[in-house]
Formats: sequence, C-alpha cells, structure tokens
Amino acid sequence: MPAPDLPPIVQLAVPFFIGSILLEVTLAAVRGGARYETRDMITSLMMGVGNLVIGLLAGGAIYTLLSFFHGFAPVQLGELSWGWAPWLFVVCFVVDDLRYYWYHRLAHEIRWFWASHVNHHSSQHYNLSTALRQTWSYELTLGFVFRIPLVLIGFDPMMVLFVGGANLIYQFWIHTELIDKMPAWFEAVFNTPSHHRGHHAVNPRYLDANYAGTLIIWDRMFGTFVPELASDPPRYGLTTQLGTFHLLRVAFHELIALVRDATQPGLKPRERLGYIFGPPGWSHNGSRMTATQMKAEWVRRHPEDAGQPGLPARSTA
Amino acid sequence: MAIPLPVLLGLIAAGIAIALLFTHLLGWSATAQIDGAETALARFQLDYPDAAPTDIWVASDGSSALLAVDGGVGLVAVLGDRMVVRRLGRGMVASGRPHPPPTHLRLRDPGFSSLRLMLPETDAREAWLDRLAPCVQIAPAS
Repeated sequence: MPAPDLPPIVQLAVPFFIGSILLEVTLAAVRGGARYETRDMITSLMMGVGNLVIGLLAGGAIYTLLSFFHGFAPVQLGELSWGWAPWLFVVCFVVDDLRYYWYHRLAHEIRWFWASHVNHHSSQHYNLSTALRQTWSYELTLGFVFRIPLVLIGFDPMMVLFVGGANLIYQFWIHTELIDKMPAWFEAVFNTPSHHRGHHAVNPRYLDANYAGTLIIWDRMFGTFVPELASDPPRYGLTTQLGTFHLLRVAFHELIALVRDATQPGLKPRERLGYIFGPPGWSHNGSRMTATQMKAEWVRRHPEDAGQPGLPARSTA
Repeated sequence: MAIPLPVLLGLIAAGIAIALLFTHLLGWSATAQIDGAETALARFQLDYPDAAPTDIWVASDGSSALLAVDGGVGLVAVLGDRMVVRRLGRGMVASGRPHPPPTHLRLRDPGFSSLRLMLPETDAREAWLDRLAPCVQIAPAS
C-alpha cells in the first residue's frame, strides 16, 4: 500500500476551532455555564497562533530527526504491504496516546518539561480557548524526543506526526464547562471534559492527575486517575497564578524562573540539578511545596479527607 | 491539501477579531473588584490558609490590596476578572518607587512583573512603605 499524502490536520482544524469557540461564547451568553474574559481569551488564542507558527517553522526539522531515527527501526512498517492500512493508524494512535500520557505525566513531574507545559495551564479560566493556549517552547525543551520510540518501533514519522495531531484535535473539545458528564461507558474509556477539568484544577486533590490525551484508561492503569467531585469543584490555573497577560511572560516565565533558580550563587551541583529535573515546587531550602507536599498539607488540615481520591491516606507533611 | 498560509492567517485574524468583539460586547472585559478587606483576606487565605494579617489596605479603586502578614507583605491584585496573590518577603521586590504616587513595585517574579499601588496620602502610607522596605530597598522620600 503506497504512502498516502497525509493532510496537516491541525491546520485544517483551525476553522473548526474558531467556529467552536464562537459557538461556546454564544451558548455561554445565552444559557451560562462557561466563563470567558476578553484578555484571557485573546492571550490563549495568541499563544495558539504562536504555537502554530513555531510548529510550521520547526516541523520540517523534527520530521527529519524522526526520519533519521526511523532508519534504525528493525522493521519499517510503512514499507510493508499493509504499512498504511487504516487499522495501523488506529494502532499507531493508541501507542502514541500512551506516549502522550507519559510525556504529559513527566511534563508535570519534571520541572524542565513543566517549564514548557505550564503555558497550557496558566489561565484561570477553562473554556475552548484554553485548549489553544499552547506552549512556545516544546521544541526548545525537547518534548519531541518522546516520539522517537514510536519511529524506532517502526511507525513511519509521517504517521506518528499525523496521529499526534489527531490526538491534539481530540483534546480540544474536552476544554469546556458546558458539558457535565458523558455517558458512563464513555467516561470509563475516554478522556472527557469532566476528567480534564480535574487535570486543570489547582485544588490539591486534582494536582498531578488525569494526564490522558484521548484514552483515560492509562490513568486508570497507572494510578493517576482522580474523578471530578461535585463536593470539590475545580479552581483552574496554577498554584501560584500568573499576574500578567503579557505573551512573552506567559510563554517563558517558568523557564526564566528555572534558570534563575538553578544559577543562583552558593548551590551544590546536586541542588542545581534539583531545580532543573526535580518536581515543580522543589527547592533546596524547603521554601516551596511540591504537589505531593500540597496534598499532604491539605490532609493535615482536613484529616477527614484522608484517603479520598487524589489525597494520601495520612499526612506526611 | 493544506490551507494556503495567507488564507490561514486571514482566517485566524478574523476569528480572533470576531471573538474579541463578541466577548467585549457581552461585557466580559470587566475587571474584578476587591470590594473590601474581607474579600482580600478570603482570596489571600485560599493560597495561604495560615495567614493572620494584622492590617489590610484595599485600594480605593478595588484593584489591589496589601496585607501585613508574618514575615512580609501579602499582595492581592486583580487580573482581568480574577485575582492573583503573592507573599512578598525579603528581597522579592526588585525595585520600588514610592514618590510621587502611585507607588511602583517591580517584582523579582517573571510571572508577575510590576504593580502600581495608589497608597493613601496618610500616615498609613508610611506604615505600608515601612513594611515593604525589607522586601526592597525603596528610595527615601524626597
């Protein structure tokens, strides 16, 4: 089966993104249920534009790099007779979704990657425009290296980038407060607005949870699933909220902070590495808190919540 | 099967312009207001539950508030229709210019660069500047 001419699906989805946002704004105005703020929305959309432009500029280089590694694959699936069969796209999508889970998880647990991914979480709002608040430093922080295993397995780089785009498009619609819950079977298998609202929340129970791209089964398998609870409605954003709509600060504030922390005078090499590769909130003098510490602190204050989803059985703070 | 770049850019620009117009006309450009000390305290304690401020000042325009807390000064500031909190300790302010009003603070915080405070022209002003002094070397009054 010859290699198809795969479309740039994220580009093609742009009219759908814009139309959906205008629809959500209209529905929010008519019946409530979603919150928008003008400058927050513009910031999110401009971050999306920047991400798209950087993707266009860097896409060729990443494709070349993935192709280089693909050369080492024991089997090049795209060259087999069934290499571009539809079912292989499905397999590639599922394997890539697992790749996304681990990239996303490490993007929350390792500050180097968090310094890029933090952009996506920097709005205190949760609506379809938030979905487009994407990083400008994915390439700089080398997030694309997580795709290399897929091309080493044998998936064609074009297919890997295509299904990655499809995954990104899937994740657009889950950034809404207009949809409460999907049918139970759907909530059990797929990432949904409810699951992802928890992921964007700063309430301690929801920190470092629900990393899924499309399939929530990965969180259920690896123990990071926390259901959205009506008793603890999500508050969105960062545990230390951004105080600016300035695009460059939104894009690079955490990278700047990381560099400042790691280069401050008087630190041991191990401490410098801790600021780069430790979890967000790690500090050499204990002056800040990681997500794990925040959860423990919450349980110390609210012992009645111990052992609930997303919270430890007892405080170790 | 790609969208030509000029068409894509035009589409994006038009989409953003329409969305901006929609949200602005719907009144969603309005900013939040810190309508009193209780509001400032409630927001600050969301981030710092142990905080027990001895004094709270709220700007007359509701855009910011200061809280005298153990070890520094708490700050609540409006950002759009939401609020942002910081606890300012020693050296966390890069520079401050108290005179002439408003007082300008530039924070050592890449995510929250600067703030204008319209402190009252009373003795309270000096008290707040004294509390902020350890956070920054504020130039003395001229």
